[in-house]
Amino acid sequence: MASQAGHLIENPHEIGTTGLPHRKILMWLFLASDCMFFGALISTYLIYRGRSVAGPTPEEIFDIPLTSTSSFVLLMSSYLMVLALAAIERGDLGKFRLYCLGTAFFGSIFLGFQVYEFSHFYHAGLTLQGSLFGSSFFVLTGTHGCHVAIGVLWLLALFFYSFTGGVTQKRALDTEIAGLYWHFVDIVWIVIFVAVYLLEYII
Amino acid sequence: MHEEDKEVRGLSQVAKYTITAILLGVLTSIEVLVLYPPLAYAADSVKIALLAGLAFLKFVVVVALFMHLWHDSPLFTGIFTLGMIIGAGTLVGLLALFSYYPPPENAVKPPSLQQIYEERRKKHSEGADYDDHAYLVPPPMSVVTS
Repeated sequence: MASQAGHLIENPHEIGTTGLPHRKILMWLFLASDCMFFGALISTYLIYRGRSVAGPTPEEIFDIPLTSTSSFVLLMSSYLMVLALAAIERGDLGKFRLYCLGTAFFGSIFLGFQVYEFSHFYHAGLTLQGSLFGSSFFVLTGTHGCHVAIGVLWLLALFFYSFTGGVTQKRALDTEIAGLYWHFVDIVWIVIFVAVYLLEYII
Repeated sequence: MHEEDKEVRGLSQVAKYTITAILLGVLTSIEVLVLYPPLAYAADSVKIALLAGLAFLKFVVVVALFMHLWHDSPLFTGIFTLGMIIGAGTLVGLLALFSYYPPPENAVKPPSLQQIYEERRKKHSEGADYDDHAYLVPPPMSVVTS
């Protein structure tokens, strides 16, 4: 059975009256609610911008080349994720494993950059309770980092699950749903990178 | 579908995604270049418009092509767009609401991008090393912790 997007569906009970897989609808609903969640966090950061009465200021501690590199790494992980989905839709399990592991690896590199950045900022005097900038910055980017960490665990679970015969061409929807989550994490970072890091040097 | 057809379709998909990834990389590079001369000296409104436009373009490309919304059910587009509108509406509404409250008088005022570069030029004229494309104010760990 094929869904509206053309993917093979193993279990016909997964398709509802809309003609679409239930799990995919649920994932899109979750992503829509996560848009509102991140909308609130980004709003909080922007409202508190320039209102801190204690340093350090973002201009004193941000490292744009480092953050640009980590942004690029996350973008490329999205590329590997879409290749993993394309591979499993073709039934190429070997390439799926390669790209899936690559995506998880790139996600881990991004997390490594974030851990380095957080520890650098902490040593520079920026703490969660020290200033409005510190509170809003750590909560926003930390929440995003948690999303990335969950994504990495999910991808690793898919990778290991593929060795048990659980990941097949007919069950490509599992990979597609994980991919939707991963790409969402990427687009949230696209907004954070501009609103938090780059805009700081302009207004 | 025959095996050969599958192979051709797979290769064309990979080519499409590779071009998209290259485009995203180029757009990110342009975003970062906005902070460096000569673009750093452009009017703030121009830089903001450029950054917003590039971020929006990247966002749309990832959602449409990598998340397959371009050729998926309109229901998914509707669900996601609704979430986006509420999220963006929250942002615009809160920013408008809090714009009535000025920042505290003792708020730390960071230097502008122009001031940062002018300061560097000034230091250069006094004999210090200067590079337009050097890091944007990343103090080394030793300087920060000392």
